[in-house]
Amino acid sequence: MNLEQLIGRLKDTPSFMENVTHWETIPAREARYAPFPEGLDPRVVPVLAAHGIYHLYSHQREAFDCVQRGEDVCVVTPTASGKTLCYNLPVLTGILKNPDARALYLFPTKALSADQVSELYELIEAMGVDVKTYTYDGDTPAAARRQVRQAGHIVVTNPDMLHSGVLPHHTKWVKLFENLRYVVIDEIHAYRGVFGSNLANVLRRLMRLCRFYGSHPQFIVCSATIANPGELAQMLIGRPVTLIDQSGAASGEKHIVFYNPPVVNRQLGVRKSVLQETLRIASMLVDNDISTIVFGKSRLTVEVLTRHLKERVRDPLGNAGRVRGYRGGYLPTLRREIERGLRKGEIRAVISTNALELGIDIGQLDACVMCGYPGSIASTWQEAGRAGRRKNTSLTVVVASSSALDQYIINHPGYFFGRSPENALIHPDNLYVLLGHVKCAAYELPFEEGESFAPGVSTQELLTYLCEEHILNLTAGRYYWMAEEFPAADLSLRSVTSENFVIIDITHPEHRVAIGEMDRYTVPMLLHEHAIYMHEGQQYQVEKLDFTEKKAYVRSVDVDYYTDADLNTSVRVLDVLKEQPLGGGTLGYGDVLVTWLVTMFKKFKLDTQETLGFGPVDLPELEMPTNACWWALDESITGGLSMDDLQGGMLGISNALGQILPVYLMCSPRDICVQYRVRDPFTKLPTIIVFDNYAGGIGLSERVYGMRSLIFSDVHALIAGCVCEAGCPSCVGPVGEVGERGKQTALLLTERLMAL
Amino acid sequence: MRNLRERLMAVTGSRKEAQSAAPPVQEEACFCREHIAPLSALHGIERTTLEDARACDPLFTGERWDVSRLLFLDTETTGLSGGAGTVAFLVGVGFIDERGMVIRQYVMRNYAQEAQMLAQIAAHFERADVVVTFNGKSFDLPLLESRMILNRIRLPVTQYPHLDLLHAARRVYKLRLGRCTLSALEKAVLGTGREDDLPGAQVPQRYFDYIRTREFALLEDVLRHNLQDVQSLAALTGHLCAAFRAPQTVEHEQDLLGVGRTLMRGGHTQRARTCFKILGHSSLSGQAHMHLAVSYRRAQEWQEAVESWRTMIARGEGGTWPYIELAKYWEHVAGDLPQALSCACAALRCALNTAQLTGTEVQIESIHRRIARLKRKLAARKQTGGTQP
Repeated sequence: MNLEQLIGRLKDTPSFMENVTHWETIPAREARYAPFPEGLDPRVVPVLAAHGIYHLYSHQREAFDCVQRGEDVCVVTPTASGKTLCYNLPVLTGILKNPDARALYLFPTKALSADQVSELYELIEAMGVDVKTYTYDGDTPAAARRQVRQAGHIVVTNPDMLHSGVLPHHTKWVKLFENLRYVVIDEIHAYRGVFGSNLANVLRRLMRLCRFYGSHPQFIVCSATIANPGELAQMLIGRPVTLIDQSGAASGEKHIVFYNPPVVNRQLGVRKSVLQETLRIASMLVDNDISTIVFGKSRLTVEVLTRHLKERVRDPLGNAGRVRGYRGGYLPTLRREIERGLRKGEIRAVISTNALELGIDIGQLDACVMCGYPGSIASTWQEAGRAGRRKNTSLTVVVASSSALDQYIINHPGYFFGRSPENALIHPDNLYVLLGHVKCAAYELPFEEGESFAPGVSTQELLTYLCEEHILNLTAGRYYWMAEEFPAADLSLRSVTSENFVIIDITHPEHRVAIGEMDRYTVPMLLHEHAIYMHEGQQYQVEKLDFTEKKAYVRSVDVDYYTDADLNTSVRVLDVLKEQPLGGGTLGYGDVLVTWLVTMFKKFKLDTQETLGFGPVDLPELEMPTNACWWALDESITGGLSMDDLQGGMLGISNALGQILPVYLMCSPRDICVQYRVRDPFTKLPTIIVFDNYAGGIGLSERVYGMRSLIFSDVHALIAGCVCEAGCPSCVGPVGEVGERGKQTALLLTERLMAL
Repeated sequence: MRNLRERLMAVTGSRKEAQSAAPPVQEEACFCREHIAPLSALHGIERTTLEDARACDPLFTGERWDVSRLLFLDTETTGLSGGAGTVAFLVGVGFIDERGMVIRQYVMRNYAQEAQMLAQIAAHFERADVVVTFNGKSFDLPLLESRMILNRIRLPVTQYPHLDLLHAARRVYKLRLGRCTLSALEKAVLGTGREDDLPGAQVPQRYFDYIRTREFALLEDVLRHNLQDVQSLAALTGHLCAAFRAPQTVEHEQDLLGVGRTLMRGGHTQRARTCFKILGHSSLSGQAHMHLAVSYRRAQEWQEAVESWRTMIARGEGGTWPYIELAKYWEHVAGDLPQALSCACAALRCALNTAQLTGTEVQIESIHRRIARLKRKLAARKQTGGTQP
């Protein structure tokens, strides 16, 4: 069956349709074209014509015109809409007009840069012009670097390399900085949270150096569909942009199906496993040889799905290369190989984490299955965008898990389809982030007295602080760097720490292989000793975790269980920044210190997920300073409740809040955490705490503080609207966790909170 | 609520109390100290010529070498990272005039004096044809250029004709000394050890301490260290140039091999051969003969080449290499296939005798191919009537 036939068949299958809560059909859209602009370099036209392009899409033309007028532009486009021409055309035209002009391209990952450079090369080569384009990243050989610095018209790099390899060595890049005309930033929606906050500061540093060298670059940025592309772009580059958000590209008919696994135990609110239902739907697509991408939310999900789907397609010789897994932590060469296989169509199904959400070129597939709601509207659209060739019909199936967020979305399709995707929030003035970049900036070029780096924070005070710490020295009105250290080395843009652990396979002791890496915050959860670590569908057991050397030694095993670690999180209030009364209690916002400790892990059977046992984990705890908002509840709210009831009720509210907050903050669920304490040592009251899951905070909990108790009406609606009797994973959590009266108490508490 | 400072301390985990910064001290001019070293201590620097410099460094691009227009230069810096935040707070320069070697050391008494100090350094560059450093190619000169760019002085010091003694010294002394630091060279080559020398790693902190306390005495060790460095630059230049000018005076066999190899690379074939011939009876004779043979082969002086290969074979030097070279010679130059075949077979015997050594399988395989090819050629020639080409 081809996809159209399969779609028809599904619609006629009652056992499938009875679980479908919504079937959205988005009609095909005709392309809107515009003629080539006059200012375009004439050598481009025949090259494009050779690729069958005789006119531009309207958004490409608009972008070109804006750049010609000297405006900073933000182009918002869906996948496969010819986005790269939006920046390549004006940049090439500009460089051909003035061969001294330079452009800097930033992509969030090395893989994306490699992808884009090869496309740009082709264009330039076909035009037969002398525009030198080079990638500059960790893989650029030392011998080639000089050439890149001196002669590159277009330097393609990533924010990390700009941060630690270019800006601190700007005197070697005089040619680039003096003549920098265009800065292109693609995939800006990837720069949310701490990564975005860091990039905004890297760009502040870039612009500061441009001012020193006397150049005034123009920005061309591109984003996938999010709620606030213009705002994000403006926060990143620190000035207003012209927004182009009407795509002129054609698209085929899209079917988006919301699928809720059937309830198997109404009392406990238990539904069929999202994993098994995803597997069933994906198998059907794979069996019909429909090219498919399956998105899993965690590495574990991806590995489990890969393993099962590989079994399904294994040929008599045991080959199952048509199905591959893909996620962060695979080594780059392996990922390139998988991407190539997808483009060529040799790989028919790929199971991926959101690592493939970004614009890595894997060609277009026909179908997409999501194992669980990806957590945000923006991600959902982006993942769905992986399916659908320009003119063909595509199918996306969102399979809901039993989490409250998934259940909310799957049962309120109007919310999903009626609402714009999430905001991408960044907080460039996060003190933790800012201080690091002020140090880097001071290293790069002494600050002048009175110079401002971040409009929202007193640069002067930061500089004075660094003087006191003997990192800077104020002489004759300038702040000079006075330390041996290289500050960019201590600051990783992507996470709190740059220290990744290497995973080493010691199955064959004489032939040890590094098979992947992992950031140190995830290591205690997934790579503690005796953990089962999954990699490309293969199970490994962790034999030794060397925390000081940052190495995990694993050995290939074949067992019928997986492991999951128990994470203990505790939050200590350091300082109250804002406070207001909440009945007799308080609503507070401030600085906190979060501590994580993994003390034990559990073993679960692979197919039935029953608990098989547990073991201890002996690892140091990890600390993170961040921001939090808390509700300290007094008698007026907790009155008349026993300790047990209160505990169950607060746990219930915390669970529901954790699920619902991402929807209202329009952030990813992992951006924010909810904790509760029956008696908090700081407030001395029963307290619910919401904190930003990034060092230094990214401004989410501050927004929660701004919502006061309003959020509890939504929590109440979620709990009250749930079909279960006394609690289930879709609202307050399972009865076993919150207790018999947990749901009831949670409702009572939220009602009292709403009344305030 | 805490103020920004307290929040910063929480974020950084700092436990320090607020300190008041040292009162800013305004000095008008950067520090400059002059020192004169007698030429007698400098290993004949005054006798060096352009020819010597080119011999020392085959990549030397200078067109002129006037001893009074050489600039010896060494910097002391606030770090080794080489980025825009690393400062050369002390620049020592040396030049030769009628008084001997004049060494001037410039120190920034504070960061604001950098531009002024660099201007003086720039003036020295303008009075010089060639700059001489130790590791200046990858460290001192790029750093100075970077500092000048930051202070808006455009002088491409990295483009200056430059003799980097680190590379020159390595080529000569690496075989004997292994690590070629300047102080190691002083001790082993110049015979001028240092006493109480300040370890380089402590230099940045000395400067930071000075900036905080304004105690100039803290810098005296750094100045002494730098003075010694600059002076050694001239002495080492004199010594190296002498070695290249008159290889027969070189004392150590390993050094002489280095001199010979460098001379070869620079195209000073005759002088290089002199080195290798001297070494022909030393413990390094194997390598010396190999270099010699290569030099004859390149010059197509076949008689001498063949003689060198035969000498090597007679002395059991160079493993299969001389056999194979001879086989190539007979095959491609002399056109004597039977001779070539017999040499190739000898090479095989030699290889098999040393077959326990690793990596010989590939070599043996290639000798087998050579033998097979020679046999085919011989057979073909017999069929066509055995005419000589």
